[in-house]
Amino acid sequence: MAGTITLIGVSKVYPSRRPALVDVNVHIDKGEFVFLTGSSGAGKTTFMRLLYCEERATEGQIIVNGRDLNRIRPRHIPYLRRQIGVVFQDYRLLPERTIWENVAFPLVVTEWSRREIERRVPAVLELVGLRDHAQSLPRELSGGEQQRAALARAIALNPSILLADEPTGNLDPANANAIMDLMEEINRMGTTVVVATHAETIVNRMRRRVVHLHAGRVVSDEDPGRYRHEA
Amino acid sequence: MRLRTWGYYLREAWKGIRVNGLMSLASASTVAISLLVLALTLILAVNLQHMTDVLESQVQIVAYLQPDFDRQWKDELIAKARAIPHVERVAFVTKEEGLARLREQLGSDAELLAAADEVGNPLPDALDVWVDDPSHIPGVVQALRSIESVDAVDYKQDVVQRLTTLSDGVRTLGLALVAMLSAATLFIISNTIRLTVFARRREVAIMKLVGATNGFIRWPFLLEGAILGLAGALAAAAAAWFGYEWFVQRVTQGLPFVPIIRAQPFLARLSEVLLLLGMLLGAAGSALSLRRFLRV
Repeated sequence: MAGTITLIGVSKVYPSRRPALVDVNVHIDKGEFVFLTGSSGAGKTTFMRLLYCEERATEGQIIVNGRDLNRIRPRHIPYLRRQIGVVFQDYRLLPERTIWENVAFPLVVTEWSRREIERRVPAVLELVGLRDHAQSLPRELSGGEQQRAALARAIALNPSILLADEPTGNLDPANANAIMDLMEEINRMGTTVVVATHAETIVNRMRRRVVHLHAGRVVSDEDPGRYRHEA
Repeated sequence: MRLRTWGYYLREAWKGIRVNGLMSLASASTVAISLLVLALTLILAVNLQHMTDVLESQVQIVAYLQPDFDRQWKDELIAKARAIPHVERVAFVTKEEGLARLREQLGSDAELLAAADEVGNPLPDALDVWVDDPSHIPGVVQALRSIESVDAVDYKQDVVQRLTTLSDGVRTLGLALVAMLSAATLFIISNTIRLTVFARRREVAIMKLVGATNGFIRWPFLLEGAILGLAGALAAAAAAWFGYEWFVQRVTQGLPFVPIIRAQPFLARLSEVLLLLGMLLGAAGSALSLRRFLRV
């Protein structure tokens, strides 16, 4: 159950706007790496927001980690979110806190002990290659480094799912590739990864399953890896 | 809940107070003023009540007897008086006792009575009468007057009734004033907390994102409100404490016969009430703000 995502007939309608998602059916297995593509306004961000309960579906059923999000009680949402790491295009680091504090933040607010935090933070920083920047402030780092820090924060709680909404949108190709490599590494450790992006070069380079959205509908869902065997 | 978590809440609350320095001061001052008004109202109400009680416990009606009253009818007279409905207690006061009491009441002015020593005691014998409730005084006075040996009846109903009315008025007015000030306090505290919430909206958003519980997110703000309330209450309690102590000292020296509540333990109780109320007002103001501005 952990790490799986299922959407059945999901629609999301905002009042006085055209529907953001229309009858979306997608199943993502534990350990998969999936790209969610489409032009801006196609519904990628809404798709993501539904998964971490920032929004509720207007119609249809969403099951994440075995939990039916239509039925989840508000007070259980925090516990679901601890199982889902999220990164954004704009990093969303806390500017007045050091990288260490930013990465430790999820651990502090979910009441880990100091000893556990002091063990976990260096390990995560090591993984994203920011060990030497622990005491820096976000503004002292490059964009690529800030996104690494955001990634470190997203996986600090060891989530079963990692969601990334345009994670490379603000990065040059070299940094973008480095971030994607890092996400593949996280995926190799068993975490389900969903990346929303409209950067074709990245999608083409990685050769992973691509769910393509257009005007809120899934217009294609292809897995090049699978086709290779079939061809 | 871990102790460390409470340490975290307190640090965050303190941060909020420092960040909004001036607004925090303004909120604490509003709490202080509101609670000070409450304290003054309470002091006034409690003292009026006390005065009423003291007066009520004192003799309410004095029935002066004919100068030629024959004391052999004393028991019969007492029985007659006691038979009047609502009479609680009757005491016979001889003219000698009456004079002694007068002398005592006059204190240093007792030389006024020097004449009495020369021409003899001008007072008649009398009955002291206590009634179960001041509202029955007029009826009892009427009944006493109809007893033959009674010459004149003196009573203090007016004072007691006026005090009761006054004390009711003070209570109503005070309550209204306190309700208004409490609303103002809630408003300004909720505004202050709103500023903190706004200043930390980014942090709060990330807390929600990474799975902090609503309680965890709210506590620092609630504590911030409670601390502001408590700070204001401390100021109000200190002002009430020293002010009333000074007042009691002045009154007991200058107007010793005015019955007022002694400073202790009244002030200790009052302070407890003020501190508790300040904290509650602060937390409530904060909760109000969180409900409106912090969707968690």
